[in-house]
Amino acid sequence: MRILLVEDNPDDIELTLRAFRKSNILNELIVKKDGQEALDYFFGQDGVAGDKKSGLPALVLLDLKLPKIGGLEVLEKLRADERTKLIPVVILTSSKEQGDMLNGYKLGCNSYIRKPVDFEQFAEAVKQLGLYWLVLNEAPSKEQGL
Amino acid sequence: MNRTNSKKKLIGSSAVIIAITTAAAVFVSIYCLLKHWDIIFQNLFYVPIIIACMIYGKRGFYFSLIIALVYFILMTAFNPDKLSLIHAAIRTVIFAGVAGIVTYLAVKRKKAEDALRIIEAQKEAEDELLQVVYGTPIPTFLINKSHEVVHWNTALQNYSGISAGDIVGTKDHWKAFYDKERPCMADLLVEGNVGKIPQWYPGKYNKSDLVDGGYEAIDFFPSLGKDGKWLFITAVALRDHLGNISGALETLVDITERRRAEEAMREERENLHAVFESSPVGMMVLDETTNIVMANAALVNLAGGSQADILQHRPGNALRCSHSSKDPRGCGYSEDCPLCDVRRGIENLIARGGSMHGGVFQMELVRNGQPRKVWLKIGAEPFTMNGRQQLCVALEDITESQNTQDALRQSEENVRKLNETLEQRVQERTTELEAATKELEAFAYSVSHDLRAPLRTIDGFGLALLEDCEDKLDDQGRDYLRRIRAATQRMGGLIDDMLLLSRISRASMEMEDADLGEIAGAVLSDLQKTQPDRKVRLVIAEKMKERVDPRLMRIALENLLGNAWKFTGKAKDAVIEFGHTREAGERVYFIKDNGAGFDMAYINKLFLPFQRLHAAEEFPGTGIGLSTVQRIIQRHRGKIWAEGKPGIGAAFYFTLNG
Repeated sequence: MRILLVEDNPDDIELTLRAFRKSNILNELIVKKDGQEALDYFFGQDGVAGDKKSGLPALVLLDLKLPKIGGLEVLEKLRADERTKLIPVVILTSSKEQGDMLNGYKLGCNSYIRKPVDFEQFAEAVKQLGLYWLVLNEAPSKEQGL
Repeated sequence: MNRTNSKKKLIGSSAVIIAITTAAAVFVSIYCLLKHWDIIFQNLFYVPIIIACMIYGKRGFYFSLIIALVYFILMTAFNPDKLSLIHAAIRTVIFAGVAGIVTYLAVKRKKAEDALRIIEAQKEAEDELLQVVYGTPIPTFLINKSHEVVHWNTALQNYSGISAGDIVGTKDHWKAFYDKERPCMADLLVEGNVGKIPQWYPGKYNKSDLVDGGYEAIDFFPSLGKDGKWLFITAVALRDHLGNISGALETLVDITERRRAEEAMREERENLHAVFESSPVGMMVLDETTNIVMANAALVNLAGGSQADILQHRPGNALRCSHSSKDPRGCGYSEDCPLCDVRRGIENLIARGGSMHGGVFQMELVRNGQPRKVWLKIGAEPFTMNGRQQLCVALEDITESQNTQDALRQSEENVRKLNETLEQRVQERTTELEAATKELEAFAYSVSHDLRAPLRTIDGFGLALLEDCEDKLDDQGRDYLRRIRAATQRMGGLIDDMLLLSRISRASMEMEDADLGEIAGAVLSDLQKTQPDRKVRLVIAEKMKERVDPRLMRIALENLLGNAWKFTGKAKDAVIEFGHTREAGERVYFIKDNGAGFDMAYINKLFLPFQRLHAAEEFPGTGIGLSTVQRIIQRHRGKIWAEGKPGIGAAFYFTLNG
């Protein structure tokens, strides 16, 4: 089961990866650096949306502030397509703006996590995230080993 | 008529008898003379002489003298002897003497008969007069020469209430009219003393036009009736057949009603005239030929000349505009004002002659040598005076109210323009504000994303260093890293608080009824959870319901109670009290603690953002909390202030919905 991380900040990518490692979440993590890449990953020529073999990611971690195409637009497109409509999407963002949160929920995100400055808090959040969406919400697989 | 006819007959037949007797006397005389029977004929002449003198008086006497002369001539003609002449002369004298005696007696008798006849006629006339006098509805009385009442007619009996029986024969007729004895008009006329009339009827009398020798007077009799009466008196002297004054007749006509009506009419006319004169509206009255017959003071004042000036002009030119000085005929004749609105307005009104408003016009009048523009409102109203159709034209000077209206319109216009400008400015400011708010939002958004990201990186990799490379770092290195991480986290806190403050200023208020005590309880219970070991005595008053935005109020109370919690951290027997009191009729909430307190010298820095009164090591904090609280209280239209003493405690007071 793969996790798709859409994030442009390499520091945050690295820290997120580290948080997963520390939390023993060993799923394959695919990283896309902007909204366009993320959409291409799903709906491009070799997009996973049409590929039954590789399959869809089990979870999408979506930053809101992205180059080219913003996170909310990516979310909107995912929810608009029958094939991707049910993928759990968790918004991971620095923003604490209520407008962002409201729009995120309106467009159908499953959760909204604010990236705190204190990394320990973030690591904890990521851990909980993984637990919930990969273990409790989905049938656990062998590779997952918690 | 009968009498004069029979008299004529009598005289006619008498003449025949005289003629026959005379002829007979002459014939017999001549025959006897011819026969010389002198003795026989002589006495025949007595017959015509006596008849003529008895019937014809003086004329009969002259006739007798002629017959006597005829006899003498006949005698002398036939008997020219001396003796016969003497006889004839004696006889002629006797004839004349007999004729004279008979004539005297006849004339005397005739005079007596005539006198009797006149008295009878007078009596008859008097009877007729009395019938009229008693029958007339006009109160009338008659007095005789000695001022005694002779007749007192029925109408006067009824009018005066005095019966004829009581007054006839007395001199009391004045009692019917006066309180004191005084002559009536009839008394003055009876005396024939017309010269005394002015004394008794001063200015109230005049000679009658209708009755010859009569006098009239109109006088007020205060003792008559309830409120006095006005009587129209006519008196005339009565004369006997010899023309001597025998009495006087006086009639009295009650003209009180007429007089009162006249007076009322006169009063009404005077009042109307007074109103006309005193009206502030210029008015003129035009007669049927539309000439000005009256002009009131206001109009004279408006026109600036004299009343006589106005009366000389046609109505349209009554007011002479500033141009009219160039042409004495008045307004509109000068080339400068060929078309004067006011003049035309007046002329139109007159032409239509009805009751209407002629409109409002402007003209330039000269007042005290200065031209002055006036607004005139023109109207006309027809009316009838003394049966003649007249027209009252009113010219009201409404310059002042017109000017006031103009000023009002002007100021309204100004206000409207000001409002427009204001609206435009508000629009501009709003647009600016909206732009600024948008900018601020963008800034806040940017801050919350971009400023935090590097901090997260610093903190994250700091932690990574601490965890992953722990063995490669000594204690100092690890301390440095912890400091770095503490600083970044503190900065994160600062950013969060700043964003909160800005969000509170921008957030829309959602008011609900909420109990502040309940919110405080929840906040304190959260605080207790963060430090379960701390023992703090909490005193929260009941019934603190207010209409607030509960979300913002919770943030305010979190800060205030959080501070109290924080600063009592080192106190023994910590107490936090949330209650309310009343000051100047207003509810004042307070949160008191017995914590570290603060020095009142720094009170003015207390609510400023980023100002702190305690060292961060001693009590952590960003210095934004109280600014946030103040902003929230202000947004609830309240005030906040504080008291404190170092080491004793602090108290925060606030009001809501002021």
